[in-house]
Amino acid sequence: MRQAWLTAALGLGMLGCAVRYPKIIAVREEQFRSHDAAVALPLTVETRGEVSHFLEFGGNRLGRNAVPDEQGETHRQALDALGVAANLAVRSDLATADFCAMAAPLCAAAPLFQKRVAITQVIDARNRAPEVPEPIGVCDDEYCWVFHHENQRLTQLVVMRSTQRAKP
Amino acid sequence: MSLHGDLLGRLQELAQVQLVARLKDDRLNFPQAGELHVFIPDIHLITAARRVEGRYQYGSNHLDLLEAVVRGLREFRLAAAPGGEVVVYQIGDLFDLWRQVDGLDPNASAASAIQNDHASLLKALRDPDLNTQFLLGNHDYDLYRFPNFDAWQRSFVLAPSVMLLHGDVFDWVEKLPDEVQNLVLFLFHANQAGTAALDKMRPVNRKSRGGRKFRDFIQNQAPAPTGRWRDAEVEGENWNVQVEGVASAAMLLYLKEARAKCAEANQKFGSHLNAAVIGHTHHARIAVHDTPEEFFALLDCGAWIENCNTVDDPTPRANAQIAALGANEARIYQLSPRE
Repeated sequence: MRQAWLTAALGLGMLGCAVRYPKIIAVREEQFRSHDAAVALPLTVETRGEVSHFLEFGGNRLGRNAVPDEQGETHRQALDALGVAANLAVRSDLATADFCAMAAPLCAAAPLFQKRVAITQVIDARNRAPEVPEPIGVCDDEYCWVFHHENQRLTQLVVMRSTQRAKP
Repeated sequence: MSLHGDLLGRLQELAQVQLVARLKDDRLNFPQAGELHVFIPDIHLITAARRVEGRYQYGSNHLDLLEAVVRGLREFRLAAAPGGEVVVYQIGDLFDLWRQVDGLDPNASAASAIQNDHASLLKALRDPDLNTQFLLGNHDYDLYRFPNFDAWQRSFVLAPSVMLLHGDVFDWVEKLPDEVQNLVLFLFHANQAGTAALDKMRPVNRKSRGGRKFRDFIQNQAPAPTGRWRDAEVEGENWNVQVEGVASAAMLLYLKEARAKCAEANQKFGSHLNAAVIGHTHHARIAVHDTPEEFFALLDCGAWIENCNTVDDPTPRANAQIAALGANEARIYQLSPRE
């Protein structure tokens, strides 16, 4: 028993000392992105429809079959929230991994984003260099929502099928 | 007109420029007239909100001017090509991650927060047309963990004779000799793809912080003495060069260490390094070891944080220095906003 405790303590200690690397989001191929270029926020009827269509087809823009969206209701709330300018304020100057600390109004209106990790390392190999300001990404169980921002406002969005999807 | 002259002209369009120091000597063994290497030293950016929250009594100097200078350097670089090559370096401690956060959240990118808060300056510095070469400093060493800062290096060799590094490793030489068995090897290996070497030395870097909060200052509580400045336009020979054996110890800081480590590298790798370019100390100066047997130069580029003064005037002046090296000539300029 004592040995087990010692092993556990040693393991935790090593975990604490290990260098941790941040989460990243890799920009997906064309068919797994809602748009080629990010769309402006707040969403309009047209752009909301495009994101919605993408989600209805399971995150496959070129897909031919609609797929049941198990997060349909929370996605609908998120799209509603992203159509309202007042929800787009962001504290991009906070050094935090808590997405809701950055985007409090959006989180209040869209439970989908609550208790999610903010990911600032969004890798887009189409660019000549990393973007400045860096986009802020947040992944739900199936999708990654990548927000561009400027002057403390979320200004553009692209949604991508996550590379780490929930297992059945 | 030389590239040094062209750079000075560009800077004078944007700022009041004074010459802090100038060394022109063929023994630099860096004769390339068609190249100019421009060094932007420590800036130590933190967010405005953090500066208030952390009750920091000081901040980075003249950021609007710095941004204008960086944009000017882009134009200068483009105009010089293809006949001339201008290489711009930011030589470490661009970000001050140590002052930005108190604790460690492995997923939180303090650098992203700072970058977002200074977006226009960072856009200018990271413009692909400028192609700034970045060094990791001690206050932003952890950038290496973040893919968006993958291009950052620990050192550069400017062939054939110049070693460029942040300079913090010379603190290690003094304070942490047991942990740094082979500093020269580390400097070269730290630039390899992958992060193993940087991971290995991360605890040493963290230890060098020594639990300090840097509430009132980072390097220099009092203004750094920089000798006597002069009008940058006046041509002439060496100016304000600190010679070992004559100058005070403070003006020669890290000359001995840099010379020893370059000699070690020369012995190990067959290189011919006889000059080092550093930042880190926030103390702009050129220092030389000059004997019949050996010549070695240290170009300390200064900073854009904390203060300096001159022999003529003890009034604190905001550090805002740019250094340049090419055609066997090194210069350091002090910039200030036009009145």
